[in-house]
Amino acid sequence: MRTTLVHLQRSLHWPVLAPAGLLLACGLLVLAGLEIPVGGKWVAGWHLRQLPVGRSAVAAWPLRRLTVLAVAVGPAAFALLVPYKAIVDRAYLLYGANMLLLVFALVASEARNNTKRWITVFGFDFQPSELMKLTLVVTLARFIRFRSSYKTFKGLGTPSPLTLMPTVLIPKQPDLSTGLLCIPILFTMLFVAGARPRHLGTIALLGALAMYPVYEWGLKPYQKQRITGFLAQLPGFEGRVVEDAIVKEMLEKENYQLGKSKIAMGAGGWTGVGAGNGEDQALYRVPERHNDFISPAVGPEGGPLGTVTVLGLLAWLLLAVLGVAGRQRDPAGRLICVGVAALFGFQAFVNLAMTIGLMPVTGMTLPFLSYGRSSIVVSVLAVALVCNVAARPSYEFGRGDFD
Amino acid sequence: MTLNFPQRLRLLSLLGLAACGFLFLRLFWLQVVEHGHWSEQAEAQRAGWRPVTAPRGVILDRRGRVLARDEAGFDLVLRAAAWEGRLWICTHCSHRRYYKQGEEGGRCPNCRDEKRGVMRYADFRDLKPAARLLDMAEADLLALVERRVDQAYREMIGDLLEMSEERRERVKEDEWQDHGWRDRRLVRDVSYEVAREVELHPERNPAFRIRTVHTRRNEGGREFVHILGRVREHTLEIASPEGQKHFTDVTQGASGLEGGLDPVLRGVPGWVRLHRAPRRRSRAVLDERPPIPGLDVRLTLTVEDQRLGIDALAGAQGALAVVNADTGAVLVLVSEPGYLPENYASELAEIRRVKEILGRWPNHHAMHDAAASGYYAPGSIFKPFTALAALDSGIPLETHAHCDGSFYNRKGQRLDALKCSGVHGDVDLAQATRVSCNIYFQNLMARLVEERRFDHFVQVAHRFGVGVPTGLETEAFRETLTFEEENWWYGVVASSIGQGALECSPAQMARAYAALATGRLPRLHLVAQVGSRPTAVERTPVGVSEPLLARLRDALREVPRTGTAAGFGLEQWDVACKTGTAQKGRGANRTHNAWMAGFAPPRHGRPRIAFAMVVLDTPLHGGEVCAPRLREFFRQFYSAEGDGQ
Repeated sequence: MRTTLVHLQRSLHWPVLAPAGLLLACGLLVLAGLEIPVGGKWVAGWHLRQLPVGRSAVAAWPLRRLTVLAVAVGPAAFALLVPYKAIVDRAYLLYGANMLLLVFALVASEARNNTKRWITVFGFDFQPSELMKLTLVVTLARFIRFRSSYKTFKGLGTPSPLTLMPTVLIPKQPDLSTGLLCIPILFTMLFVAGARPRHLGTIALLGALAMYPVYEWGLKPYQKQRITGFLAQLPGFEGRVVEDAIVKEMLEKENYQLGKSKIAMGAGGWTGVGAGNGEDQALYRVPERHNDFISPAVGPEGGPLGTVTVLGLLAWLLLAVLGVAGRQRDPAGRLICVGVAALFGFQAFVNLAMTIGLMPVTGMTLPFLSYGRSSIVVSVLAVALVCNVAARPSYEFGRGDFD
Repeated sequence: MTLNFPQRLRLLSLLGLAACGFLFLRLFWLQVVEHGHWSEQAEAQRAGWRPVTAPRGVILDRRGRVLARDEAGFDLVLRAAAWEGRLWICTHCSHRRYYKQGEEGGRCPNCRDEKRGVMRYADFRDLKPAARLLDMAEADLLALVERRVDQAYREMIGDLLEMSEERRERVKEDEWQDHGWRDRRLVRDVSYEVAREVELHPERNPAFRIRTVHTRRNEGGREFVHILGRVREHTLEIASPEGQKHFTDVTQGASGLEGGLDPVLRGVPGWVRLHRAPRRRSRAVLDERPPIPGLDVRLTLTVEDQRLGIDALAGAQGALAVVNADTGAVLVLVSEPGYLPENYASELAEIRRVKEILGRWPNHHAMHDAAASGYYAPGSIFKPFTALAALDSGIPLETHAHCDGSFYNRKGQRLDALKCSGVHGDVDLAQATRVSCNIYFQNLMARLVEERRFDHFVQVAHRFGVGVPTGLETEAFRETLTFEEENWWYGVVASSIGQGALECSPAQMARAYAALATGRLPRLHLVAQVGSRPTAVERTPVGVSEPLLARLRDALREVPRTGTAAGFGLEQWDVACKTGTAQKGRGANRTHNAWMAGFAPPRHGRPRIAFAMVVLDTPLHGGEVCAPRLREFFRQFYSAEGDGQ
């Protein structure tokens, strides 16, 4: 037991843990300031007693966050203690198991609000698609680590099936944004592993050309509306994109969330209105502000300084993770760190960009801040994995770079 | 140039930092450069215009007693957020089953097929506090709540149930799940204590809230039930001062005076611009446009006089109309049977039940306003107008007729249906009026037709208001001065004595006798004053010579002294009147509509009045039925202190 604790202590890599911990603390603080409606009254999230809301009693959000973190400690400890190479060696097993969970969620789980994303494990709702992101990183690391075929254009096709399967399956839940996140993770890991940028660029261009047929025949109406709504709010596009009055009204509804988010962000001013006062300012109008739209909760309360702080913490985390990758000699370790950095980076960028009108609205959460329980658990696991990699620097003379 | 791993890592880091920088720039633009614009937007969304219902005008009687007014009430409302229900609808057999969370699972209980169509969940936890508050058993309250929810589901998925199975399967879940869940009224008109408890302690009753409503209280009672009419709740779309669409519930008149005077009674909604700080729940009023209250309306009637009218009918089916002969102000307008306003629903249900049994609406029922909208053959009370039309057309005033009890047509054939009730010998206008001789008036009409002056009869009738709306009708006006092509001559002659196709309402006859008394046809009105503006009096000359009118008035004054209304003591009030008995049916089924109409001079603070009473389906004659009732009415009417109206 003592040995285990010593191992655990030695596994903690503070340059990564510090920004992650600070982001978690920010998330707790922001959630505590949000209010939820109870019987027609608004009650602050820091109210710790059970509050009946909607169809089941839920605790106030900060309390639930702490509960989830407590639950995440076990798997995180596991991810810290088990050598990452052992995990990587069993990556295909994990991938297969995760795919089965995805299929199970799609086929046999209970639909909620027209989506089939959750499976219930010991009373906890869990999203296999969130875990799939991390599983994909580990699996791609396993696949790419000793290969070099991806340095040719044709060879880029070999890791693609691993990525394509979740990319196709996850949007069927539907969860398009999570499914599409797999692609930039793949691209980043391939780039870092040595794939030619022009090859990757060509594939990206082909993907861009395929956008229109995908938009026309592959997207659901509400997804199309989000894209049209995003375009309609850009200066100069409004008149061209939207002519029909009914569509305009529809887009106003679609843009409702985005519009309220921008108001909340912009109204804070230099220093914001102070912690806990965002609800009074403009926040109460932002839907899902405990979840996808949590960054508008930072904006009004902290102002630009607050959002810069969050941005800075995210950047610190990414640089720390990339720093671990840089110091690591083992290719799998490097790829895991780069994959985790890509996961956090793209997710954070998409989330922040959508809340300030730079991208269409998606359901992507902000790592460490958003309320989503599965997202938090996976983020903690990812950090634990990175610490695992950092705690086990490879002393072998590796194959060198990925050149 | 190929990059090595550290270089790629550096590039990746730079890209990441560039992305952060890009986000930072955008945030800077949003939060610093455009801060003013978004602050205004935030301010604007915290403030909003809310409509303020205008108080509806009060309806008063002539002496200022309140007949109808608004009263604030509280409805207990079931919050939509609390009653999301789980409903399954089987696409094979359309079986619907509503149940609570935890009971689901398994196949359709009806056809054993797999259920499809998830809706939402119902969670009515702990209704005990609410049940205690409402003094109900918890099970009863739950049953009431589930009934409301079920009703809501029926409305929302009604279209779905109508569809064919094939079509229903094609309807996507998200298309029919996105219905407007809205709060539903659960209990109407709860007490202040209940409202207070629910409002102050929402955590104890999360499923409910209180909605303040303005209820229209009808305090006129049975006496005014046909006159005031009803109101209903109506959702109105209005535009705020900034042009935004709002929907507000207003009380709208649906019938009677409430309906007819709705434009003046309902007022104009106001607006208040509220600033809301959600956490502290504070509200500041930024701007307001007060509502313009509806105008109060004062009627020409009084509660006491209406009560006298109902008492005069003494439980008989019929109606009484009394008007100010000079101004047209209606003093009494009652119809029996009536009903209490609070019994509207049960009364309507009863009438519908009778309709189902009979296969048609009953001839006369409590909701029918016989006084203004009931049309009945007037019988002999119409005779004076026949005489006026004929004698005004050029037929000499001193015309006589010989009454041997029989009437003969142009071919010399005796028409038994048009015989007289007695043998009166030689009669002139005065005598014929006094004894109500049919032959005299029928002869006048026959002569009018012979001399091709029938049109003059119709013109004179119209000038006295017969066949013309009085303006008091609560139901659709019926044109009753029409004659069929077949047996036209017979029909016209019969109408001269108030039989045949001719029908009049008591209000029309009262108006006609007012015109006879004054020489001018007044516009009847129930409303004396709207706001501060009194109703204008309008009178139209009837265009009949004064000597003729005077001769007829003298003749009518003799009726209660020595004529068909003699012996009932009506002469003490100088009443001039005419009795009438309109026969209906044949043989054993024969009944009468008994009439009496006339006018009386000013007395004891009361103005000159004209009146008309009808008692329906009676075996007796007009004088026998109406005279004693009117005697009692006049005794009370003139003993009560008048106010010069």
